[in-house]
Amino acid sequence: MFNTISKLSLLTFFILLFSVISVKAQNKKNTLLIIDPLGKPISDVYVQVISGEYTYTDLTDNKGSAKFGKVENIFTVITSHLGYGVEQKQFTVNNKAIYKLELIPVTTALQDIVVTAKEGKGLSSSSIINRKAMAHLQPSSFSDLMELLPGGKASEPNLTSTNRVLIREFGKGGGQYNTGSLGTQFMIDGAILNTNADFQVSVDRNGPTHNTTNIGVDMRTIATNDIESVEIVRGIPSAAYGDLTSGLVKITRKSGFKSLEARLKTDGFSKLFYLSRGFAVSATWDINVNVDYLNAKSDPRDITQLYNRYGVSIRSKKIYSVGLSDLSWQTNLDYKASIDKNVVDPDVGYEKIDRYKNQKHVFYLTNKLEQRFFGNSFIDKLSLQTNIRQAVENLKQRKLVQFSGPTSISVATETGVNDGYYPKTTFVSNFRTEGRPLDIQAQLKGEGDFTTASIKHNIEFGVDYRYSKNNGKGQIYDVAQPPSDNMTTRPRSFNDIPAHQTLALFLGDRMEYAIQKHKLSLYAGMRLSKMLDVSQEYSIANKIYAEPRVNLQWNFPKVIIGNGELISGVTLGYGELYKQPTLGMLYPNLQYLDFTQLNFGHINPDVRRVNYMTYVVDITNKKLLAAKNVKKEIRLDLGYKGHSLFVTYFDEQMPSGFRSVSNYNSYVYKLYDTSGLDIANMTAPPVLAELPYEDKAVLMSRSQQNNGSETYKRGIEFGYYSPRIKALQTRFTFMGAWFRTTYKNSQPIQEKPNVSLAGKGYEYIGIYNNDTGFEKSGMNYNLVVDTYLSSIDMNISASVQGTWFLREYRAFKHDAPIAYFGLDGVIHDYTDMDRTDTYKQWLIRPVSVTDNMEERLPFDVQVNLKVTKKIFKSLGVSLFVNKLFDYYQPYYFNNKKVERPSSTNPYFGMELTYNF
Amino acid sequence: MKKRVLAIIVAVMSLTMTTISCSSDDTAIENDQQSQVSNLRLEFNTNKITGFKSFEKLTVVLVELNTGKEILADLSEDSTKAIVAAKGSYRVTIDGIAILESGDKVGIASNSEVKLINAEDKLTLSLIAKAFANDFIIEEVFFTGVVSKEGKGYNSGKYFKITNNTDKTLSTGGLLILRSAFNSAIKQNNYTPEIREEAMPVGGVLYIPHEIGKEVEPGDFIVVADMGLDHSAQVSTAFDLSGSDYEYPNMDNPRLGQVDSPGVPNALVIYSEMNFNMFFLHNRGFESYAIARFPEGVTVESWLKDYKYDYSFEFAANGRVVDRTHYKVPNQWILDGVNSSVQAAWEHNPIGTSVDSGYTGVGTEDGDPARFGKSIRRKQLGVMENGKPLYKDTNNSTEDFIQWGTEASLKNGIVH
Repeated sequence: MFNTISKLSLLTFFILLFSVISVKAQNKKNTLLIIDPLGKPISDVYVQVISGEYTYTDLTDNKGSAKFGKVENIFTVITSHLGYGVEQKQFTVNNKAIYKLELIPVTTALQDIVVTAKEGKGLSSSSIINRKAMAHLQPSSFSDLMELLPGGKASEPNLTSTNRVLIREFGKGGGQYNTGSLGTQFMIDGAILNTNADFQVSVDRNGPTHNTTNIGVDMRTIATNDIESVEIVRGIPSAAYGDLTSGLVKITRKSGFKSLEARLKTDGFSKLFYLSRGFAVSATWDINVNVDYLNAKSDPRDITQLYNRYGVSIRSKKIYSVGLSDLSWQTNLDYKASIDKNVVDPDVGYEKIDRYKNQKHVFYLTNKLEQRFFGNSFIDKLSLQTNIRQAVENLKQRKLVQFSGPTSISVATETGVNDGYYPKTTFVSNFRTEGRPLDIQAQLKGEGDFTTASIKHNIEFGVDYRYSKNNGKGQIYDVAQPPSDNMTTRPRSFNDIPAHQTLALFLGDRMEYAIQKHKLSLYAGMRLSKMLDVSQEYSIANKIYAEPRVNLQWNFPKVIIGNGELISGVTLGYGELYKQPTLGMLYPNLQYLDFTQLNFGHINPDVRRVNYMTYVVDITNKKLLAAKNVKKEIRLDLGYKGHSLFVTYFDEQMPSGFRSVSNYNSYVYKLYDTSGLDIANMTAPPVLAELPYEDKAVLMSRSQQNNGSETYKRGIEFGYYSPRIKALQTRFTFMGAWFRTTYKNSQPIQEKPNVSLAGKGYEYIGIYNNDTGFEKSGMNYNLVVDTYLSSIDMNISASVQGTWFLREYRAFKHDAPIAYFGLDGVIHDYTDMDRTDTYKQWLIRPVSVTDNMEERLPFDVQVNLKVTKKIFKSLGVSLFVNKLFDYYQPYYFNNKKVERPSSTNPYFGMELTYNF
Repeated sequence: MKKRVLAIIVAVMSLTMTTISCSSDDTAIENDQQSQVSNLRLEFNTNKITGFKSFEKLTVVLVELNTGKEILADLSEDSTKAIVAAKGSYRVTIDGIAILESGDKVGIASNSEVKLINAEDKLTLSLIAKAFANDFIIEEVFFTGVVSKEGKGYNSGKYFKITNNTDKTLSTGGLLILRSAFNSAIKQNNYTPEIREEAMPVGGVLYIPHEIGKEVEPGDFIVVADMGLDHSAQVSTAFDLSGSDYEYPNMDNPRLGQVDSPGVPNALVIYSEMNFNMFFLHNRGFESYAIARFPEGVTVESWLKDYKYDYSFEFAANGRVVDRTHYKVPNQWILDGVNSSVQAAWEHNPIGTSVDSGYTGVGTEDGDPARFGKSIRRKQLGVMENGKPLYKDTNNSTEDFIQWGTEASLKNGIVH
């Protein structure tokens, strides 16, 4: 039934899509396209076209285009715009009827120098970080840019472990609340960084980890040097973007002619080197090339953990003029390598043998064909973007294994009784995880506009297909020489795992309507997405996810106050977003439970015998669904004489985040008794059939993925930007956010107390309503004072930032279970009688008086200083000192004063940039 | 008792009389007496009293074998003083306290027979140290493990050496080995309720059921090992524990794959704060250990039901209160206990002062790499009558144990 409905809705969607495309018929006119030096269209330019008797006026739209009628052979265009001044240019009529005009901003550079993130004024709340801000921030990796978001703070770089992204939250709860970072989509020049086929987990559970599986993008792997600008969409992205719940990071890299540029950065943790050049092959063809290298250590004094990042990128962009349109063809070829190397701590491992090397080499080939139609065609833009990403991931380890005591292992691959064997106690284990994730994305997208009843429509529509498959050989090791004695898996090839495929259709319309001096913009979009080629046993197989997204902006008329204009607007948004489960969640590795039935370690090796009952447990949760986040937000924008202010309230509810939960089952096996054997005179191993035995049953848990993690984020983000005060050439930026985030389980959990009684394992499992949950609320602030001394081309900024207050409350935890079950699996209610039972009394969890008590952390502050200066025309020097000063106010908890000494030393670095 | 007091009086009187008579000029009487009595001088061989310095108390009882007549002499002041006794055959029994060079005191005893036939007789007595306790003591705990020649830690082959430090045969049946719940290097605030002076909070308990109990002669010991097998066959630096009396291999955790040695009976883990009956010893020794027996009427089941220890403590750093649950064993049930830590990390004693007023440990710094292969072991005071070593037991492990750690005694295998 549902299937039919979803098919119908797909059909309807297509019909709608094509009918919209076919609606186009308007008289042709001339088009003037106004762009800035970066090629970006400039909207709201007042255009006057004068040609003999003809005079036309128009305002450019958001694509930078203005239209005019018939003109004589030579005509004059006069443009005027607040930021670009008045410009006049003569044109000669051409047969394309398209004319381009590039405007150069006239405002003194002063107002444009923004060293913080700018808040986007669009329909969705976003932070825009430009090159200037990045140059001033002096980042080592993308992680450092997160400081610029509302609520962000500078933190010491940690380049030797995974850096996950956190948007609109403080973060808590470890691995159970990773859906936020997994559900943040990173895009570089329109190409998504797909992590759905990431299986790169070490075979050795006890070794070092740099895992990113089910965590999302590791931000330290993204270099910032080549980034022209970043838009971090915190709010509701348009329907063109999907497979995300929490945020969207759109990275645009440098393009077009650029003189040779070099950057050299060093700080206490890392060295960075970067070289780039943009060539203009012809007027319509640019090639950009760059190389990038980073070397980092976990600690300047510690060489046990090293991280290296390499990047080479060649990007070409060519624009062909075809008839009435421009066809731009952009192709990027990228190579990136990210290598973690651990030199084993001699105190723990065996340094001569033990090795850990986690290498990820990634090749990207992205192609984007974009056809722009000028004139009056309904479709303005059609683009086809294809991205192919092939990674070569090798996690190679070597380890001297020395079992603590004689050990037996089972090598069975199927459920059943089997004889194990006694491996040598000392051997060298070689093991590796070989991943070859291949990600392909193809997106066909069209944009067009039309007007109905004075409403300007600007629509986007398209198809988005994504494919992720890991063709790696997977986890490889010799089962007879495993890296540890507690293996619960067997080698598995990733190649056997089906591909992760999603198909999505999207349609969105951005409508603009002006009524008197009010301006209303409404974006309404819908994304339909479906996983393809999933076995029918999975609940997700036939699910079509509909993701409505609506944003409404109301710009009020300008109000004159004093000698300035007050600009104001309100933006509202609602969106539903889904993140599909990853391959690792849908196809987890089989788990092996090897129960010892007999372990007869006789002195004589010929009569030894070890026997197992092995259970192969499939932990796949076929009911796993996509995680859903519902975002709601309201934003107020105010502007007055160069001052601007925004305040956003958001509410994001994600009750179905991914979670790894323990599910208990009982397993039976036999325990053979060899006490009756004549040990001294044995000549052959014991025969099982001749031995007495005891039936044993044990409750064991296997972790399984489900949709049981709830993350509920609420908050207020705010920012105030002053104009650059002329006298001081100084700008004040005050940003911050109040976040309140709840992390808790949304489904009852099973727990077994950590206890063994009377020589047996504990034989009851409690079912509890709540796991340890957290509620964190607090406010971060960041005041940036930056001064630009134009006479010496120097920029100085000080940021005073910290947490104004932070409250942490552990979600209420009840000590008693709601029910329990034993070895038979029958669920019983937990009663007061059970509280005094020898065994069931242990089901009462220890919950202390402070477990349900709020912790209130007061004010803290840190001061950072950054300076950027042009020494010569081509040489720039920057330096920064973070935590130049810091203070953490002590607080009281449970009537106890808690001192918070400054945790780290100042962290500083410097860099040189050359522009030849 | 009354008899003894009387005997002492008689002895003192007779000595006084002898002295008087010696100083007398009446030779006839003197000759007569001299023909019937003998002056016995005792010499003491103190080879078996390690570090002997002097006597604090030394009493001699002579019992004439034919008449049963007793002579008591106190040689506390001067051990070379002669004892005057009528000629005859005597059993000589020595009882006393010796002071050692370390300042420690030890009970001493000796037994011998002598025939007094001369006017001046000599007897050399070999002194042995005397037992205090009336049940087993923990002689040694080997918890550090060893390091293989490749430099990796080998965490098995750990053991408890439990010794009969009394003069009677004891049974191991019903013996409990307790591992403390508290860590001596981590001290939190406000343990509520604080019970350590009444009971020991335990995190793991091994039990030797009566069915597999065995008799242990005075001075002899038993070894309770994690796996009672030849560990040196696994890693050359580990010890051969194949002659262990009991073992506790873990057969329940499907991930451990430990080996059960045939012929070595298994002690039962009746309680563990871990799953799968796991019972491990902290390899830096931040745990305390004790041995105990359930009193009459207490069974494993009833103990598990009634002796749960629910408590809370507060983190010193941030005031956060944590609730925990363990079990407790009343100090009265404890036969012997030892607190372990290292000086640099010591915070508190997991066992109350009535059981152990001090602490011992292996190494001086936390994570001392030199600790491997070493154990905490009791000082030997001397040997018992049967030639077996006698260990010091004053309920103060700082005094009773070799500081700070010594080479494990079973390094070269188990030799009784």
